[in-house]
Amino acid sequence: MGDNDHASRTADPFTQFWSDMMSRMAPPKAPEAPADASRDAARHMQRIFFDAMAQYFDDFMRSEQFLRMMKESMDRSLQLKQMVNQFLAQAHRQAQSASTTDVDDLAGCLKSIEDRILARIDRLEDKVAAVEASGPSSGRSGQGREARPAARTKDDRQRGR
Amino acid sequence: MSAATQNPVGSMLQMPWAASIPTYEEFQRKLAAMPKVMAAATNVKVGATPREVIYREDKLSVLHYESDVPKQYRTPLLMVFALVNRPYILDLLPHKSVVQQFLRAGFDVYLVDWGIPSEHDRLLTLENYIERYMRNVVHHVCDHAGTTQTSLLGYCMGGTMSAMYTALHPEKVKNFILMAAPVDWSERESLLCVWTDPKWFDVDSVVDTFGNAPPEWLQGSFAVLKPVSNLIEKYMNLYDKLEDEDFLETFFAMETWVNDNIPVAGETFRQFVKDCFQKNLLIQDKLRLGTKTVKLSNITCPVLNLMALADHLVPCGQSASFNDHVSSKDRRSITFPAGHIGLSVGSKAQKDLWPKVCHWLAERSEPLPSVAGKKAPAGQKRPI
Repeated sequence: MGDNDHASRTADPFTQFWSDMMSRMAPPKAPEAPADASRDAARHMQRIFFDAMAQYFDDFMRSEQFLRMMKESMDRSLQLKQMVNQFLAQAHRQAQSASTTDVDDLAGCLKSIEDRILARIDRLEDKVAAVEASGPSSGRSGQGREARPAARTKDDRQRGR
Repeated sequence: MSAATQNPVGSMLQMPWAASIPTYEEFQRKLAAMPKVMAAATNVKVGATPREVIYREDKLSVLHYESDVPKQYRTPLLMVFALVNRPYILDLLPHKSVVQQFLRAGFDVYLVDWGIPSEHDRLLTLENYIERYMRNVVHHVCDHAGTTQTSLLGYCMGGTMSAMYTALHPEKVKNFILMAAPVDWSERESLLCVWTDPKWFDVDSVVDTFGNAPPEWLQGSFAVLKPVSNLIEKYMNLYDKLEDEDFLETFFAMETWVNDNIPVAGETFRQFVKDCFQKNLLIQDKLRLGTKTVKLSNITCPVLNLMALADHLVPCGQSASFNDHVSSKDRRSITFPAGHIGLSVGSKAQKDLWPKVCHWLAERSEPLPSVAGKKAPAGQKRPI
């Protein structure tokens, strides 16, 4: 019973698509095609077919059935990838070599340090700008953070400027 | 009983379907065109406008385009594209180039190439892209151009990011052009909104497992949004026009770009999906980047909002309300009959839309002293 219900539910959108397409394509009073059927007529039919198919796919991809299928497929892919990741991490650990997780952790630490240093530099720049703006020689006043020294960027720091 | 009723299948076969079956001569012509097709495929040159790199930081680089047309405006224009694809879509071919449109109009054009994130860039957040990278990029562009402000053109996700930047640093942006950029996900009409609903899509699991959003997965998802058009019609159209060299040049240029997906930094992807697609925080002025809250009402510069009427990726409803949330007095919208990519590379857009946009920007850009007071050059289109 459940299978029949499932079959009828999945058949309905397809039936609707097919009957919609055929009703638009079948000419009512010319069952026998003329010998000189033009390419334009073929293209017109092709257009109708593709439009109907596109609409069908769009409706199907919004349906709960498709969304559930998509989620299950993604969950399975993620599970497989997680298993592979865990296996490789364990293999690396037992071989006493660095795994991706170890390198990621190290990269995370470095990034955190970098973010803190850059934030500190930004605050210092703001203070310097405020001091310059309020100082006696306020020729550079108003530039504030825009007048960032060239050494600020990571690229410049790497080049030793 | 008619022949059709006696033999319905035979009658169907005699219908205009027959005209769609190629003749032997046509097939022979198509086959003879194959060397040209192979040549077009291998000789495709994209993003060919001459440029120099004026700034690099980590993976990104800022390109400054060169042109024989004399510069007429001091205010530079910085173009920002999305993180999911390469930015040369804005300079795809010489006759399909938004960059060229602005160069011919006398603008000083820059473009930020975000580069290709590596595995360890997965920790880059949206705050890093906007508050660090974009801030540095704008600073260097202004420095290079000798100005304190730049005009900004943001395309797709680049437009969303540019809107965030402009809201946080309004003093740096003279004019802002938003192009097919999503800012409001309250209307859940697009398929992407349906697919990214938290009920069906666990972005945390994806990012925690894969790190960066994989480019193959992104590319496949975009292609499947319009399966008939992208997987069937495209190739039938190619077959029909195998002898058209202009078509082949455009086709293979587009294919080069479409297949040139790059990964998206994991934490940026996570935040963009959660805070934008799922919670729609940006339009509510609740999106946080680090310690700062992005408020679109902080945007006061002139705004031009370009939307594509046939955009299946970013429907007009996701962009239109932007103009209602900014504080700019000078704000305009243009909805153009094109798709998401057609808005930049479509022939109609190149002919009808971009000259108008150039004129809009020209009216709001500071002219160079040598041309101030002179008449606008011939060829500039009427105002919008």
